Amino acid sequence: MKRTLFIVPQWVDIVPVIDPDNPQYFTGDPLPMIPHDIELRLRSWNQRFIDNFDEVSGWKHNGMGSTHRIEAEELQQALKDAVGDEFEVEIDGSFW
Amino acid sequence: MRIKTYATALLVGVLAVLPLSPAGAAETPNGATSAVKPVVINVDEIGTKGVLEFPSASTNPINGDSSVATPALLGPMDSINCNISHNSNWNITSYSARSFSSFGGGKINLKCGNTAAGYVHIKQRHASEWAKRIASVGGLGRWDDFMSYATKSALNNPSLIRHAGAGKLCYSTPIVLTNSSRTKKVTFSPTVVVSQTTKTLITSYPTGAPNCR
Repeated sequence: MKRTLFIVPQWVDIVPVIDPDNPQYFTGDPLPMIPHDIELRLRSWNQRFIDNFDEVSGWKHNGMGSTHRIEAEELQQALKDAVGDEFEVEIDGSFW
Repeated sequence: MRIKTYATALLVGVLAVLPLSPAGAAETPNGATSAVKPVVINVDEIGTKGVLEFPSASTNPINGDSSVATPALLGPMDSINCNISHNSNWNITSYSARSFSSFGGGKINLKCGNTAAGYVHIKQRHASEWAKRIASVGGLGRWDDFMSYATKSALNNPSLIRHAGAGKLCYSTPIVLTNSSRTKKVTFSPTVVVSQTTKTLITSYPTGAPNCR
């Protein structure tokens, strides 16, 4: 059975990927299956969320949410390609 | 050689007397850390007489009470407002946060919130993580009571405070989870993010070390 990784924006500067079945997720350590270059892209993407998403009013500028979503889909594909068939990769879309 | 020895001794001497912040934490541009005694939580007491076993076993580190009982986090009105009316501005409870840098600390409100922040966010995103922590030592208590106590502990007795970007601060502290028979013991740290501007709790979830990651 395939495991599923979730790309989810986080409120702190971490690699914003959740692997619910992996105990390592709870340690805060990097997930070993994610290549370093994709980790950096994911963190940069997450930082834009931290800087531009207000917890009460949402995205600070028009269009920023949809741009962020498109970037998430690109990262989803890059991560899928990197982790191979062992994992599914999904995006949690409740911030867009 | 002798000069180098003297220089090293001087450096050690200077480091030894560097001032700490008022909170007793060594501040850096990225945050502050301090040594704190881990909070101990007995999971068998979650949801029965409240989440309670304080480090000294006599004094509540949050409010100084010697009482050991706390009510459940969500009362009936809280449940109605958060789960039925979806009143995002409804205040469930408040915590006291340690000051840091330009943030004066004080009261931090946990509101119902929405999918991005507050109780609804924590429930949707992190309830299972909190529940797994309780289950890891065989506990059966409510995830939100546990989360609330761990959050209180981190805000009031942090071992780490750091900036989390865009007017937010992250607090953490080590917490030891155990059960009544002391047969199991797990240490973890909550990552607690608050808004300095609205003084509300944004999120709280369990992680390994107190590093706000």
